[in-house]
Amino acid sequence: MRSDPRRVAQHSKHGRGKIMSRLPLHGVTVLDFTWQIAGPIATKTLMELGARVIRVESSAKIDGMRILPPHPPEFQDLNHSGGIHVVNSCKESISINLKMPGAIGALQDLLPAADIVISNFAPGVMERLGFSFDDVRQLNSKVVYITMPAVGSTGPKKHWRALGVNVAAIVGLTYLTGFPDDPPQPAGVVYPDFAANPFHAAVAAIAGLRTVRDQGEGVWIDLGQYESTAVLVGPHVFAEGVSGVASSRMGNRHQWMVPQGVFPTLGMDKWIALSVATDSEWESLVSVLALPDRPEWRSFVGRTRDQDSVEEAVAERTKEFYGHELMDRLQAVRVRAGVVQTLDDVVERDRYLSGSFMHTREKDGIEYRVPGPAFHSEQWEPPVGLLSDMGADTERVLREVGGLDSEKIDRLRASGAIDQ
Amino acid sequence: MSATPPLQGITVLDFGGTPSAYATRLLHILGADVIMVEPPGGTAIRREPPFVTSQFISAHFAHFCIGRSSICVDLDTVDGRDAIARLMESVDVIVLDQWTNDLMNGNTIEQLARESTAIVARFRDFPSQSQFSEFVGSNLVDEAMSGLLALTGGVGRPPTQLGSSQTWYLMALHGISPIVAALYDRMSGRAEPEVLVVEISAQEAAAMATVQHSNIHQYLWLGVVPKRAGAPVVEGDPGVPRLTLRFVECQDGLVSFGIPIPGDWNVFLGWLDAMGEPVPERFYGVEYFDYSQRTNHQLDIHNFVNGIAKDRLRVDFCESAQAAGLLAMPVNTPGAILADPQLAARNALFRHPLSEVTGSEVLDLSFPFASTPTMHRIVPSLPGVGSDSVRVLQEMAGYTRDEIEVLLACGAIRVESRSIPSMAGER
Repeated sequence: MRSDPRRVAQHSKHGRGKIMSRLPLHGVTVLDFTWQIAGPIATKTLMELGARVIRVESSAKIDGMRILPPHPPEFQDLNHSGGIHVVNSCKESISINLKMPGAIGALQDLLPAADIVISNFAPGVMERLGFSFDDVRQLNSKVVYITMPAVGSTGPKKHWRALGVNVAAIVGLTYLTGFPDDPPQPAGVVYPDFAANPFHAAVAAIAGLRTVRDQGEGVWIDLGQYESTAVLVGPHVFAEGVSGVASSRMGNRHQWMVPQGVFPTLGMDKWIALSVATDSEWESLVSVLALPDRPEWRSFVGRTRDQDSVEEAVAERTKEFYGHELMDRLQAVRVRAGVVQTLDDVVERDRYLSGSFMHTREKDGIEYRVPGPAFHSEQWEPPVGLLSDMGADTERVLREVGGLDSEKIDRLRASGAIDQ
Repeated sequence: MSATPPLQGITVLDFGGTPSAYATRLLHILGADVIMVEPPGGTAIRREPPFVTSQFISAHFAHFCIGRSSICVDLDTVDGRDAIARLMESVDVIVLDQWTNDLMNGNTIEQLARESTAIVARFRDFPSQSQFSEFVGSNLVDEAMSGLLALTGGVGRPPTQLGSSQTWYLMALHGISPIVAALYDRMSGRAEPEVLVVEISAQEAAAMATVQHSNIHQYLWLGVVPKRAGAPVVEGDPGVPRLTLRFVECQDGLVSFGIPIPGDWNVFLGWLDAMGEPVPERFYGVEYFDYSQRTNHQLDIHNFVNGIAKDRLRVDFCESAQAAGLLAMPVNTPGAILADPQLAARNALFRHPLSEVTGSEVLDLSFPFASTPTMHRIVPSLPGVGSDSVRVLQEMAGYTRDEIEVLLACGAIRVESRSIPSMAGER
């Protein structure tokens, strides 16, 4: 049996022998039907807070993240994709072929022990499998049941399909991104999948646990990606609703920090981000960059009135500096400055982060890097690790969680319900 | 059908500003009472543009601070700090954020918070354990340092931030689950109340999106460093546009459109047929059916779909494409969604108390997910600066009426303006 990383974390010691607190979702079991990105990141968060997450997989419908390149050259299989481990840290995996006799029953045997059942399939899939909210709560009346459809399982547009890029467009996030004279600029990341949906799903699940405990009955949380992304532009939705005027794209500018922008530094495609919030910060910027000290630019109103010229003057000077040198000199005088780091900077310079953000884990002689949570507590030590091989935990989970005996498991194996 | 909100009975003492405002808004919607602590003159979020009424009410304030109470305390006074210390003894969550703490005697507040039994959520630009812990940031600077900023931007443009301060939203989103999980643990009697400090930094929250989106093994194993679409490839290169099929242009604006799934090519052809559009012969070739080969024909497909779109309204284009099973959504201005019947049908909107000030119906977004039974609630009011100072200190910190009068007289606590809707009659 594989060691349980949660157990290790809860009893490990930290710093000067301080014993960690038990994680807050210790004892919570998640039956995880999610795949791709948004759902797995949601259950990764629950795992980091102490929940036991059991991924339900199937060889008949393999999670694309297990196939997605890159793989290490010597392991072109379902268990070694780099991407699958980044969003599924420390989860267990069972693999059941739902088309085979006995498979549905085996999963139904797991339901009574599940505190949370979560999926991010298209609307109707869980129903067709026999795992709708009504189906599930007949076997577990106190379940937190979560679905993550594109625009919701109810409403006139419930049949609409969407990917993250479409959702960012409909809510106005795309409209707000880019420079005023340019068309809207699509985000370089599939933002709803990596932000709005997974983290709202995680907090919804935890809040649902409380509601179930309080009400004594199950709860169905239907997290439409549309509404869960819309709230991330909430003030702009509200402002336009009141005034009838849409917020404009601002590029990298800010309404009360002038100048704010991204300016060139020495090197190809190297940049530094600057935000000047006060007149004294402007004085410091003028001093470090040896900018012309024009009296009319000493005030916020003056800089705002002449914003283009201010930015041109700043850019003329920043391009004479190396980014990190300039950042250090500006931060030393309390000017908000940061180099525009790229992925290699973030990975190679983990010391710039907390030191407990990126972790190295080894599997079959291959080194993986996986992120821990972005929250930290002196009292918590969240587990960080890799996903189990596909189906590696099937028998153990069916015994431990579902209470199945050897005879029943053998029958499932013989029928092909348990993926080999 | 409504349930008791999951955080009913929970009290949050909020020293935060705009960066952590979404986290506290969500705590309120889940049922918590949020008490914002404001300095004399009011907290900075009240002065955050745009302003949406003739009384210069900030959209950020009106949106984020819905349902909150407000106490106004001068933390430069001993009596003011004593009041806060007494209040901290009876709250469940204390929200600190680096930006307002710098303005509000932050070190003192954090020391006091650490002596309580509350869950202390500490929001920062950079992690306190990193070599940048003393650095100062902003949404833009934090996004730059996280690697996220480098991923967005067009030809001839520098790396470009995501609209609407997303790095701060990311920080709030990463922070909310640990707070609610710790509350669940305590409310369920599973954990003893003792101080628990949880830290969330904007840089790390955004870096999570960077490493997960980019799949860091692309870099570690293949040396691939993702760049924004408009990034130059070689020195002196002005940047190469990488064509996508993301937008097509209808009569009345842009639509985000896609045929992303390999098997959807048949769906696409069926849609053209249903629209009465003649299908070019070449579209039946294997180089279009085969997903990997189709990517070589993006420009052709894009131009063809644009030709269909230009004579249609977005609503018709999207409805027909969605009915066929394709991906199509309008590139909206943010406020456009307030008129979408989908959100109204899902109870995702509520009537905002500013309706009483403006005299016309003002809608806002409510809950980021639907539930059965309904789990959320919104108290439809906005606090004045210190509008709840007296009530909160009496009810929660045990001050007597006489003591309150002394605190008001010496300026340690203040009542500077009234709440909305109680000021509605002043319009």
